[in-house]
Amino acid sequence: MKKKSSFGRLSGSNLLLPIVSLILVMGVNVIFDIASGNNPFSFFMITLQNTTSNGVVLYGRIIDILNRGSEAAILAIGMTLVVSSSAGTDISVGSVMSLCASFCCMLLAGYGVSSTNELAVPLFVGVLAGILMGVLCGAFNGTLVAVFQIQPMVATLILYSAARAIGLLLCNDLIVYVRNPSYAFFGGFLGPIPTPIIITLICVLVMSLLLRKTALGLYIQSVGINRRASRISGLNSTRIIFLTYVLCGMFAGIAGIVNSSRITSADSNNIGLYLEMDAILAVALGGNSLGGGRFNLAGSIIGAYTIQAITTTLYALGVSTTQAPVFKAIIVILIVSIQSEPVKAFMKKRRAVRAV
Amino acid sequence: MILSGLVLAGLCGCARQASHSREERAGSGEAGEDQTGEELSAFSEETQGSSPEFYVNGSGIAIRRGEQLTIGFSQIGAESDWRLASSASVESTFSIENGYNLIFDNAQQKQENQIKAIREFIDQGVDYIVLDPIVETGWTSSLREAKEAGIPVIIADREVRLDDEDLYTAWIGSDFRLEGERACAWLKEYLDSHTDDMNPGILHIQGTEGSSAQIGRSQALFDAARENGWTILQSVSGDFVQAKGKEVALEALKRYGDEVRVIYCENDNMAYGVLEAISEVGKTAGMDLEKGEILILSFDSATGGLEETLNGQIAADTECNPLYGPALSRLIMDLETGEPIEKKNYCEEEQFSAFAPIQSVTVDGVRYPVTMVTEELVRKRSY
Repeated sequence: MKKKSSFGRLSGSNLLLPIVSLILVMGVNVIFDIASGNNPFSFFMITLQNTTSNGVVLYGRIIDILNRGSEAAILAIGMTLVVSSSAGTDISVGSVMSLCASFCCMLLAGYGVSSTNELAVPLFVGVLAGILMGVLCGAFNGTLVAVFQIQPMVATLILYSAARAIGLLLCNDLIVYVRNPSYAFFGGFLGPIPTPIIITLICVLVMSLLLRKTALGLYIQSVGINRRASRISGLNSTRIIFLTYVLCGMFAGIAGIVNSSRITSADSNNIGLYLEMDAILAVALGGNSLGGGRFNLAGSIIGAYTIQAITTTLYALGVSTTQAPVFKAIIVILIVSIQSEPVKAFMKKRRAVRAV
Repeated sequence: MILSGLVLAGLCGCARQASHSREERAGSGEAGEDQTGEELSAFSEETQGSSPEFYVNGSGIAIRRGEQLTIGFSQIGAESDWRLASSASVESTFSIENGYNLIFDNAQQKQENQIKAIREFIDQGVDYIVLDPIVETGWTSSLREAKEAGIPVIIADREVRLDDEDLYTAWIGSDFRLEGERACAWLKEYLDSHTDDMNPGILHIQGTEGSSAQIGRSQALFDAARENGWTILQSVSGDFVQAKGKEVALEALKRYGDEVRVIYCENDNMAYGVLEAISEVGKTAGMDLEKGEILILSFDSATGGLEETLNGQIAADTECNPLYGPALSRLIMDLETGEPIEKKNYCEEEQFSAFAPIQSVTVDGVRYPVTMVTEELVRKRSY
């Protein structure tokens, strides 16, 4: 058999369309730069910039997209697993993010304190507790979905509405500011690289190693394809679904800490607002079926960055923030319909006709 | 006995229109309604003349001496230092010691919650409803319900847009337009007399689009720009929050580069984000335009904002006074005692700067002093 070229391999895989979508979005920037007489590749340029607060850091649109898309990318990891195993979505992740951030800041500042420079507990205790709170929320969702077999959307609706309110309660209805430079690290810079990018990278690496080197990835897909058949062949379906929700909650916790660290405060009302939708969309843009079963983690991550690329592009084009969602919706409709089965089948048919 | 209480209550209700809901509640079968009824009737006769039921204390709070007044207050949320200060002001003014019973409702940024709160206040039969509306529209039906229940509604802070202005009794809050005009007057004074840079590019970070504060402050800037020939590079919304303010400012700073010389930022929280963004692109905020520093104008004057003003990071911070509790209590006193009131009541506000040469600004022929920030002033700030 002839060895396929690298492009041939790519076009055969599920990743082609997500990557093409991302490139298309970036292409808009190139066209815009040419139209406005700038360097056509200024979008892709990464330079070193001397900042007054963080020393020399990487600077450029690509870095911005990678940096600001971090939360959605981290959430997308967990969401992919949940979608795959239970054929449902966890709509509570945005609220859980807010709760974890509030819990972390509440511990760091002390209950009822709205602004502090001194940490009440060591930094790692607060951050760990915040992530643990995410795990706890995930376990709650997982119990409802896996053990009580409640539909995922209904089960996670509980925390979707309650978690943000619990966060507000923990913070005594205040915005808690942790004005300690050490807390700003998770949303700041490690050397010249924005820390959120590194955190995302670690999350993705650890998770993909876990999925590839162990049978976990296979188990999750098999439970998603047929829960009963998997159980009969000896897999503990309940436990696997439960595990995916716990992981999803944990990633929500991590994303919450990153987001709150960016503004060094726990703004319960705004942290993670509508981000669950971005995470679900990322999974869909990544070419994954929301009906569960086979999944492609890399696709979801690319999907998350595509969403951020759209947002950044719209800002760069000077579209007002109130109108941006409309354009975002149009682009998303385009991308999703390119990836839809009828369109794919149509393209295949045309290619076949041309081949004859 | 209940019947007599009801009759008395009914009589009182006719005698005094402004708060008949309280009398109804008094007559609705609570323990000792007879006595309450008598007290009320005596009270209603007394209020025909002067007002022994109220006196104004040193902090400008109208203290209630008669029977407690129940106030239902629907607050937008707890999204900023400013909002927290306004909640605290209302809570401390309408305390039990001052003769009020305050029902405080935090709507957590949702209009549905505010509408629900108004309905609950009506069911509970409060004497006054105070509403800080999150948006300007969509209040007609709930305010009509309050009017039908005979409960006066006072709108605080932000404004409402209604076909029938009679649906609310009074409005109290800030003159956002004037705040914007004062900030622009400061900028004009600065550009005219204190720098050679006559036409700097202005980046305009707006608040939540459609909110009263955004409309007033933006309109003032647009008018001033037209009048003085200033260039507004871009108007972009940062939703009054730090994270969004930073994001949009960063994007604009990258897009316009050195053209951005002045940032007109519609609240302090966004200004914190703007300062972070400026630092991230390797620039500095300050007042020396020739040296390439970016001049920032902000609003609210919360403690954090004044600290930045003291450091010279914010050139001028125009106050938006959240402490409307005492003025609100005096308004309620006037309503209770039948004094004539204004439909629109503006809070007194200041403007702060660390730039000594500008001591006052003039808007429409009226001179407004500019207060110099000092460390002591920042320390004493209550919000």
